[in-house]
Amino acid sequence: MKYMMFVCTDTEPDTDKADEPDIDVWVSENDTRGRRLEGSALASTSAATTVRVRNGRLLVSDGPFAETKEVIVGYDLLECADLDEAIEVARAHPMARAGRLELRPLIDLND
Amino acid sequence: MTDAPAAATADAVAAASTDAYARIVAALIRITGDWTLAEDCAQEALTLALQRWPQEGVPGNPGGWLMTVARNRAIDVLRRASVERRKLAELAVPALADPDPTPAEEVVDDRLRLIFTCCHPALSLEARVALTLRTICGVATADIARAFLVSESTMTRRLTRAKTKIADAGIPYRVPTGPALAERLPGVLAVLYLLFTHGYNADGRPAFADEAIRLARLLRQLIPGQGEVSALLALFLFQHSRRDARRDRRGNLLPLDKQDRLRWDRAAITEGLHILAETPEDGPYALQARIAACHATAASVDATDWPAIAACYDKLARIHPHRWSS
Repeated sequence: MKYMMFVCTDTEPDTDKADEPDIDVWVSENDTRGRRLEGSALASTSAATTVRVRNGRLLVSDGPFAETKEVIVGYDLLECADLDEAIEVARAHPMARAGRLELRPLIDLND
Repeated sequence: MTDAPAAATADAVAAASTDAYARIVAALIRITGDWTLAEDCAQEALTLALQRWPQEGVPGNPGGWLMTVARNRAIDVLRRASVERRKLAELAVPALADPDPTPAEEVVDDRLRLIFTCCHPALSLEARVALTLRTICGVATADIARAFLVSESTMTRRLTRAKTKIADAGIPYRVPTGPALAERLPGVLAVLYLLFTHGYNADGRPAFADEAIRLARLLRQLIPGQGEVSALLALFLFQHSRRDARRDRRGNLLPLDKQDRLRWDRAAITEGLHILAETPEDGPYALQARIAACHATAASVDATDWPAIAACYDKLARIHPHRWSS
C-alpha cells in the first residue's frame, strides 16, 4: 500500500533528546529498502498560495488555507505492506519526536 | 416436539456458539477479508442450528458443524459475487467431511489475530471496545448500543466506520511478534478492562463482565507467560466475586463495609488467588489485582491488610497509571 506521510510541527515536541534519529540515515535506509518512494521538505507557509474557484471566478490568496500553529513542513510517499510497517517507518523519523507524522493511505483509483 | 427438548437444543446452541462464534468469524475474516460477511455467515449458522438441531439432534461436534455451515454459506455468497478463484479454493480446502476443525493451530491463531486487529491503536478506543464485543463476542449491535447509552444507528455507524478504517488504512490481520507484542498487549488489556467496567445494563449491573472474563481466559491460554494477562483475569475474578453482594434489595450500591461477605463468590476468589500467584512482577494490573485480593480475602473491613494495600497504591502511583489507559 502507498501511504502519504505528512510531516507536521507540533506545539508539544518531545523533551527527551536521547538517541535522536538522523534524517539522512532515515532517508537512505528507507530509500534502500524501497519503502520511501519520494519526499521533500516544504518551503515555509509564508511562501504558500491558496487557489479556489467560486462561481467561475478564480480566487488566489496568500498563505495556507487555515491559520494553525501546526503546519505541514514536508512529506514522504511510502510504500509499505500495511499500516504496522508504515508506523514503524514513521516512528524512526526525527519529526516523530520534534513534531508529528500523519499517515494517509492513497486511494488506488484503478481498483 | 415438547418444550423440554427445544430448551435443551437452545442450550446446546448457546453453549456451542459461545465457543464457536469467534473461531468462525476469525477464520472467515482471514480467508475472505470481509468482516461483515464473516459475521453474517456465523450468525446464519447459529440460526440454522436452532432450526435443525431440534429435529436432527445435536451433532457430535457442534462447533465443527457450525464452522462447516458458515464456511459453505460464505462460499455461496462469494460464488454469487463471483470473486476470484483463489479465495474460493482456500475456503473449500477444509472439506465438509472435516470432523473436527478445532485442534488446528491456524484456528487458534485466527482468534488471536482477530483480538489484536479489533484492538489496534489506530482505531479509536470506543471503536475498539464496540468491535471487540460485536466481532469476537458476537454481542448484538442493539445490546452494545444500549449498554453504552447510544442509539443503535450510532453504534452501527461506529462499527461500520471501524471496519472501513481497517480496510482503508491497511491495518493488518496479524498478531504482533517480538518487541511489538509487548508494545501492543497493554492496549488489548485496556480494551478488556473497559469492556469489564464501562458497559451497564438497565439495572445498573455490568453488561459485559462475563465476556471480559472469557476473553481474558482466552488470551491467557493463547499467549501464556504474560504476567499482566493473568493479573487482569485475577482482577476481574475478584471484582466479579462481589457481583451478588454489591447492591441492596432496592438496587442501591453498597460500599465494601456494608456488603455481606458471605455472598462473595468464594470459588472465583480462590481461582483469582491461584492465577495471581503466577505473576511475581509489579505491573499495573498485578498491583490492582493484589489490592483487590486484600479486600477479597479479608473477613471484615477492620481485618483488611491496609498497609499492603497502601504499598500497592504507592507502587501504582510511581508507574504512571495513565499511560496504559490511553
